[in-house]
Amino acid sequence: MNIKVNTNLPITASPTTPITKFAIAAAVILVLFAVPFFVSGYRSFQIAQIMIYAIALLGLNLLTGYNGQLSLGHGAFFAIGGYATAVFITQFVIPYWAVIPVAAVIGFIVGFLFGFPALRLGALYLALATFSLALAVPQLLKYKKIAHITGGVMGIMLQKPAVPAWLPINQDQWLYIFTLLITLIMFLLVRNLLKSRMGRAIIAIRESEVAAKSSGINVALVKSVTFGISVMYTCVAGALSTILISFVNPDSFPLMLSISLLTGVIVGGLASIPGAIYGAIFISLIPNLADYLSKSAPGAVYGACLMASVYFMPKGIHGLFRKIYDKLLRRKEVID
Amino acid sequence: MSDAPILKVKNVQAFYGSIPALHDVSFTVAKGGITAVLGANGAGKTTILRAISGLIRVAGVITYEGKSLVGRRSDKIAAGGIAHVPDGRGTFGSMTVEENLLLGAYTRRNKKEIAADLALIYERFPVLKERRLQTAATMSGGEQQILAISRALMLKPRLMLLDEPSFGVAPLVVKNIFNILRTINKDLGVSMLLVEQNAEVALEIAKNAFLLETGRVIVSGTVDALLADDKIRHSYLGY
Amino acid sequence: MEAFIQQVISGLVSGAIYASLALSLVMIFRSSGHLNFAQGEMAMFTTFICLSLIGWGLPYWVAVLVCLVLAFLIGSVLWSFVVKPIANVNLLSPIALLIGVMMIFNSLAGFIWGHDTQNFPSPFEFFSGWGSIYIADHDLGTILVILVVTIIVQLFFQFTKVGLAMRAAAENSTSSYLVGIPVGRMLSVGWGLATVLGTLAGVLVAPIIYVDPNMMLSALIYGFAAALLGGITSPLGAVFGGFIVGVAENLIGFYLIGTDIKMSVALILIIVTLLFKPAGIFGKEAAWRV
Repeated sequence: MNIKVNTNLPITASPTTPITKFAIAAAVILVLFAVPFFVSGYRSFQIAQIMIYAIALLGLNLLTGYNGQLSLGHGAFFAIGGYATAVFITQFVIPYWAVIPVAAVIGFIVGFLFGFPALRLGALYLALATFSLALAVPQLLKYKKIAHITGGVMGIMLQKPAVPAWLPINQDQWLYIFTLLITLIMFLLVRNLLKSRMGRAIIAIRESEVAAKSSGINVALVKSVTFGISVMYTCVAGALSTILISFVNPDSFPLMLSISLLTGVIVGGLASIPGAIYGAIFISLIPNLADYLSKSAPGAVYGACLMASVYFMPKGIHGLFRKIYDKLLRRKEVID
Repeated sequence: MSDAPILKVKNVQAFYGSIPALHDVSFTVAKGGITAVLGANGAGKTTILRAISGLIRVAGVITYEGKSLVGRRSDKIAAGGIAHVPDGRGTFGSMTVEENLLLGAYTRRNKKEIAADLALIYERFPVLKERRLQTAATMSGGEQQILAISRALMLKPRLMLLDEPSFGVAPLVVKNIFNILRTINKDLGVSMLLVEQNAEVALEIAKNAFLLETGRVIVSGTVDALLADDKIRHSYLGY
Repeated sequence: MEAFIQQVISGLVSGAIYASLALSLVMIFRSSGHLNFAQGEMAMFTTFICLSLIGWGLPYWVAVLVCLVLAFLIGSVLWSFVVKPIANVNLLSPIALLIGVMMIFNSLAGFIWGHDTQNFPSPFEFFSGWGSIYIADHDLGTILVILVVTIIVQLFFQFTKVGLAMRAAAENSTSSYLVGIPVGRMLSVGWGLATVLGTLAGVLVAPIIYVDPNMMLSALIYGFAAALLGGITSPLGAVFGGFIVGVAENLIGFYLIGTDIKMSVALILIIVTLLFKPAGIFGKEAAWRV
């Protein structure tokens, strides 16, 4: 009997078993926890920054990759998270670890409120609106009339967080561990979200809003909630960033930040959780590497990588790895 | 009427991406004649017209006035004298009636002749003259169909491809439109390939016809012969 | 009162700049349905080329003419070879691509010409005597040029065969092919012309804000605001929008909120327009295909 077997593995289904996945994840997490005790404080700081970017990218990816709403202005939300954190710590004397949930809530509310009017805009116009947000926010942050809260052009300086007394580690290591813990929580949350009914609704809307609506999904609500969650993630990232650096000022959030985030999501891989990690590594590395070439180089490298992704790697680095992995796996089947 | 067909289609396979939509389709359109393409929804009738106009990928032979059309760009095919009135009419909704008509004459150079033809169209179809400066999208289905056919005429075609001209048009207006088509064919000698779901109206003006089912030609011949055969008439034409 | 007039005139001048950027954005949107995020950077790049040409001894008008021709080539090549291959894949790809192009032009300019601000000559010295104490010669000349160009563009789209064909190609490419319009070539021409308009904007604004790689970044957002407000499909509307944005920005900045957050005026205008009348004042509502 001639049975035709489909060896064309779809790129969405993972070829690894759940146990393998769990083992790999556990190993990686263990290594991550061990890192700050083996490397310099500066290196820990750098890796923590990558994790912060990863959280922000998760947020943007949720909105743009999984839900299909294009945002060019997530740098502005990053700024909101950062500034909210600084303001709450200095004005209301809240401990740094308590500000994270506050930033999350603020982020969700801002995102949800922005998401509502965004419902009416087609992709092109949403891109335009968020682009203007990205440009306007740094200027707004310098506004003299609210400088008594925002610190104006000078920004706000914070005290570095104190290590909990019962932990025998230094400050750099504590900041790193703290960031790692939050990152893990955020990753877990988004993974569960995407596997839930809400997650399927989010993806369905990207595929076809009309079809989603006819299946009984409350498209307006889901889209707004997605915007809310997306901004929530980015605000948490901004909050962490401020805590890590202990400083905010308007120039930390230029248009380039929004563009970096978008680049990270596209190069890392749209609609993929590992993509957020790859993207974060990408946008952390490139400025450092490209700086050696020339002052102008980072922009050109971003631009070139963005263009290359659109042409050759529409599924990003994650998609590329998947392709390679699938090809290897198929070769293995033939040998067996 | 000369014997050489103006359009010859032979062993044509058409693809939407990698999915085949037409299998081994062959037929001809006589010069000055009207050939009807009949069949149910999804049979591939629209696909045939798109294949001729170069809008989709084709394998096989398509010759128009002896020259091959396969692989040529659509605008070049149109410039060769083939006017395709697509399904849904394809009018430029945001533009005025007059702008639509002028666009039909895009491939022509002689301004005087274009102006004369425009005047002629307005004479023949007063409804278009009334709505000269009105945006096309605001017109009724029947009016848009007349506009679409007029736009095709402005190209000064030798072959017209019509995709379901009766669609979405009131029955009385359908009769009017088909009278217009018959007149165009008789007076101007324009050959026609007419795709229609409404077999009855189509066969009133066509001389030849063939039937498509899932991308294949299952019956073909002169209209007289087809109508005379009761079995074919009952099973395929439904009356 | 004098301050008010000053602000209005100043607003009209910057409005003229926004208007010309808006014109090029409208041109691209009208001819291909895309928003070119790289428009500002391309204009900046060609303006720099113009500056170099002048520096090498070319007379002002020759340099400008050469640059306009170059701009046309850059624009049409950009469409034909860079954007067209991925134009219809999805909505995100062209936007991401154009942002990439934007960054490359920005970096390239910085690499070639450095990041210091430089002077750019003005051709309107011979106007002296026309202008009064309220308005500089260059500003007056700029406004006049923009108005003339706008009228030419509007006439072009409305009354010429090519203009009609370009509008058709943007609205319905299939039907355009079927009437014999070479759609690809139309889009290429549209982008070329749009880049020419952008370069015009750059050359006109350069004497006022000086030339450096970032000169067009903020102007771009004003251009978008102007184009949206006036109607993204209408050249006349875009120019009208430009003047409104310029004057509003100046008046609101001067009387209400202070000049340092003027850009938020643009932002708010954009958001309000998108919410209440996405087609703008003069634009026609576009039907979005499902």
